[in-house]
Amino acid sequence: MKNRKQSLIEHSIRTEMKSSTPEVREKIDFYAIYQLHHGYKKVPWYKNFKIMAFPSVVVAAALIIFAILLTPSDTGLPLPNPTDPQKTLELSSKEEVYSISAMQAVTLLHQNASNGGTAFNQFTMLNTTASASLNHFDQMSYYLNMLEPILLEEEARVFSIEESDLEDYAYKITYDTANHTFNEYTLYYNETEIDEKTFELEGIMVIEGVDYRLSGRYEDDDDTFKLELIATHPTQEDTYIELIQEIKNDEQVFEYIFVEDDEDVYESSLSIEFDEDEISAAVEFESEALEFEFEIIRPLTEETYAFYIEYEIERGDDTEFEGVVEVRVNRTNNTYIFDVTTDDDETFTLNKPRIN
Amino acid sequence: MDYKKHVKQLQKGNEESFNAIYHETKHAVYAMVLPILKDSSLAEDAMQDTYIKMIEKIDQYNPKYKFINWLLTIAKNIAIDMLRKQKETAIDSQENLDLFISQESSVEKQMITEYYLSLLPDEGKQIVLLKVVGDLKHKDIAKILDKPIGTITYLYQKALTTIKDSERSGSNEK
Repeated sequence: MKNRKQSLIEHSIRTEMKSSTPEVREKIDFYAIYQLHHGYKKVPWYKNFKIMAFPSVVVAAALIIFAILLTPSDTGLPLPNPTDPQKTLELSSKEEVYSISAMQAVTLLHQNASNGGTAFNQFTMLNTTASASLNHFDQMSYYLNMLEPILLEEEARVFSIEESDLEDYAYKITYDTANHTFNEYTLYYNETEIDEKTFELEGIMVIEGVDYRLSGRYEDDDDTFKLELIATHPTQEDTYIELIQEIKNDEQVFEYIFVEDDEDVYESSLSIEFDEDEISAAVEFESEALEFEFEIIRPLTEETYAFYIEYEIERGDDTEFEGVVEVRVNRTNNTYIFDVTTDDDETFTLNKPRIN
Repeated sequence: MDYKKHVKQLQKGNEESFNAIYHETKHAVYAMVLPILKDSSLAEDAMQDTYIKMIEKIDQYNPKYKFINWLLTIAKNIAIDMLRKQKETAIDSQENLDLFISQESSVEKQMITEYYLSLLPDEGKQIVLLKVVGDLKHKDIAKILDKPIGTITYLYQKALTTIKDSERSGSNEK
């Protein structure tokens, strides 16, 4: 726990410094400066990188997709370059946008269908009840295990466009993911051109022999791709994923609604940013029982890789946790070593299992 | 604070959003420039220049980065530039902190805080002020000061330990 002396020191500095901050507002002629430099021009809308997802399992699916996207490939997809801060994930064709979005949505539905199955065991931890009961350092360890391949850019994947072997569908795309969940996704679909920039899509995605129905609409307007997609569970009509994905040059927006038995469930979000000197992945989760926010950072400037985690957690019983974790990797016994500094300046070390 | 909303409005020339951003960030800006300039009068000038530059450059702000980090980087650069010019004109920089111009706080409290900060090296002082006064997270301080987050965490703890140890030894002497 933070001792009283330290709290007093911080309080003293904070109070004194804040009361000492000079007021300069009156010295700044806002309109004169603004008009001198900007005139009356209308400023273009600025783009913000944001991924919203419902529910928490969507995070897992999105992570899979990001892991796939971030890896070297023989498909010619442009990949993010961590040394170029302006570069973000880009998809080069409508086929790629469609198929990747479909895979995200269907992954969730399949997880729902095979809840408890071995293929998705690691993701079952993400459901709300389990998350709420977990120690928050276990949660961090879990997310770190999931995100490590992305942060280290170690993932491998195979992506191929083939001739369709089903009469009903004109196109076929197969993904073989090396290190995540299912070994292979196969997407079959048809495309109907509405006008030069708009297409309607319908198809199926096959995972482990199960067919998931897909329908969507796709707009390709200059430098913007926009896809609206619904993926429906094969046997539960009331369970589906509605996904809207918009991709611009330096912006991606993913919005999901996960509907189970006709009810929306949970909110969470994921964002991954590439900076000159670090890759960071932020995960947010919100439910009645639990809210948390982790940001896992991998500095690119350090010779041996290490991670830093900032966390803020609020449980339903009003207990709150906040702090910073410096993570080292022990390859000998494949564990993470967490050096924790809480917001109360308590420090301790924990060992957590590493599965990568 | 919803910076995104206010930044968008500021880009359109909305003065209310400028006021909102100013009042939300002024302590952090001051905490950024004061340890560099070590002079409250110069720090005040640097604050003013920071907000003027913010208005001038607001179109260049990239929303991929945190707004407060962008603003404090402007503040840091202005303060460093000001310090350089100050040295070029051969004006002696003060070794002692001239921190306070407040009319509200007692002399005793000012002296205590001034004493705490005087125990710290410049870097530690800046980290403590950004954390405690600017309400910034270690991660953001790391970005602004261009240091690893682990270093910031370590230096912050070290700074507070230095103050606590000093307090302890002071008590023992009594």
